[in-house]
Amino acid sequence: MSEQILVEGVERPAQPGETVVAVKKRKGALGFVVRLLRHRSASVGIFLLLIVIGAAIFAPLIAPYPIDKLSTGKRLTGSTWEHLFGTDQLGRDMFSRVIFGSQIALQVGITALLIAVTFGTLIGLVSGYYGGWVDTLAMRFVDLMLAFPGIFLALAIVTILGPGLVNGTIAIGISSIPGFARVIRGAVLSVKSQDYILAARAVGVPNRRILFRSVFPNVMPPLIVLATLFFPGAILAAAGLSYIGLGSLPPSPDWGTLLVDGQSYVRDAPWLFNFPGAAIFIVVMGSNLLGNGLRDVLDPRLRGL
Amino acid sequence: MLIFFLRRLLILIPVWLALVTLIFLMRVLIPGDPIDTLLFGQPHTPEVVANLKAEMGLDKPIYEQYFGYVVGAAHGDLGKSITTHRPVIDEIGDRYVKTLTLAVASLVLGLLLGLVFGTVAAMYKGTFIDTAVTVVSLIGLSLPQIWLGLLLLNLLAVTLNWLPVVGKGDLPHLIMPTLTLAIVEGAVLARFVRSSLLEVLNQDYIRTAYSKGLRRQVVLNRHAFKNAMIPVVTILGLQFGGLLGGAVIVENIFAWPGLGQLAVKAIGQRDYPVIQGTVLLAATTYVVVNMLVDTLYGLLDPRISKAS
Repeated sequence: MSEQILVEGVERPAQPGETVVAVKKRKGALGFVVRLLRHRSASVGIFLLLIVIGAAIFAPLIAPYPIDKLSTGKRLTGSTWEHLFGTDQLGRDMFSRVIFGSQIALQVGITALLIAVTFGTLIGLVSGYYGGWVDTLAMRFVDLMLAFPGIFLALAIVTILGPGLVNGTIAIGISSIPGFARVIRGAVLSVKSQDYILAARAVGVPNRRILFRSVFPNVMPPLIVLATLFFPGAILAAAGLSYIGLGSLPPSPDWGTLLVDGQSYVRDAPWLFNFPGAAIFIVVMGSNLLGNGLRDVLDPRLRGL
Repeated sequence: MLIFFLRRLLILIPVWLALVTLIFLMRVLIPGDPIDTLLFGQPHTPEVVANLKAEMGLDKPIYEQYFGYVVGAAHGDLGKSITTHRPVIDEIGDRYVKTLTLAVASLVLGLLLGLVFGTVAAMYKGTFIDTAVTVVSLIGLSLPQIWLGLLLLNLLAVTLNWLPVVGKGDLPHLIMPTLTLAIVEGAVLARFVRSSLLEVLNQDYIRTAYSKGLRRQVVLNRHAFKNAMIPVVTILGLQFGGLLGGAVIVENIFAWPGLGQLAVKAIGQRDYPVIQGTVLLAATTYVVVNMLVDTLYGLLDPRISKAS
């Protein structure tokens, strides 16, 4: 069923039967959402992510105190009705800080994701579709980038750009380009040999048009799955960079920065690190669940990803 | 087999040269004059600047600096630290071994956790046990290492008082950082072991083994397990890279005196030669480990080494 819709989506540039296709596509999209919501882990994931997105959007309404309001009389109090998540060493309300921290986390995650997806997809598309020396060169470079284990590539980039939240975000984005490029290239290679691409070529559709109108829509499923699974990695990496002092700095309510503060009070005030830690956990868990669901619904063949 | 191994070893040379080139370029790409950055805010004379330039080799033309760096790196000479003026290789010293110990210990413990939980889940597929393992492993791989580390610190060192909060670089000190990395690692591997084992258990030769009247234990040990391990081994190399990266964070949580701790300190001090040295060492290790894993893979699955 879904394959049929995909095929029609590809035929669209060739045939001006727009209305019929559009109706069917909407039906397909609706069906997709329904299937996703019926998928148990995807629906739990969407629920968790909605909590965080809601917290980020409505932070000024939800947070009971300004993030930097000091209250000298109430330093390091545990959870009370007045301060749900307790207060920190300066008497700032942890609940408000964690709530506002969600804005930073989502900004970082989404920005890094956009950088990685945009450049990774472009490199992967061009490399996979045109092949030849462009492909060889691009993939050798990608291999080289992938030789830097884990956060080390981001560290090297932060060294060049200098520390800070914006540079840290860019570094995380750039360091994930190779992974995206590799997967997209693989997907392009398998799409490239399909009959509909050969047909488009045979009737003389220009390469660039084939690439963006026919190949790109068909590499969307792995791209979406990869993006969902990359998102939590970006949030974790950003927390890591802040933790080692290369991301956002105090007094920002960034979750990673809050964890640094919390470590100084590991003995007496565990709420200082438990609430920001749990917040990161909710985002990561939510996107992992959604990613698993998307993978099952979009394309069961991607299970290995 | 030997030829297979040697060929892999030879491929490493250009890869390593490219790595060194990239890491050399890192310093060239850094905006601003490194001497200015270093002396920022300090009174200095032109002689001081000239001396520093000569010490760091920055007075030579760029191609000479480049060849000097490559030849030096090949001999283990990674330049001198800007802050301590000691050779980078001495700054690294036994920190490299410390990081490797942490990464290997975490890999072994993580693999153990992954094998036990993954196998149990596969054997009781579709039951409550399987669901429980899946949920637990999903929680495990979603845990931020920093939070997990602080939770362990709070539980094992503060509440239970089993381990010291501040370690001395010895074996007890190794326990908490290893646990932190291994729990997340085990969660990743458990999912992988489970799906790999399930795939193998569906194969015809497993059915054949059962129909020969072999006991379940024998089928699992002799036929299923060995084959299920092949894909698991292939990702171990990649996982090792993740552990080296994770060590950067975890070493800083527990003050484990490893490479990651040094790298972070060096970035804070803008000590570029030390940063370059640690990054190069981490990348080289990762590349070599992956080569070894590839070789191991060839040993486990003779089809691979014969094909190449």
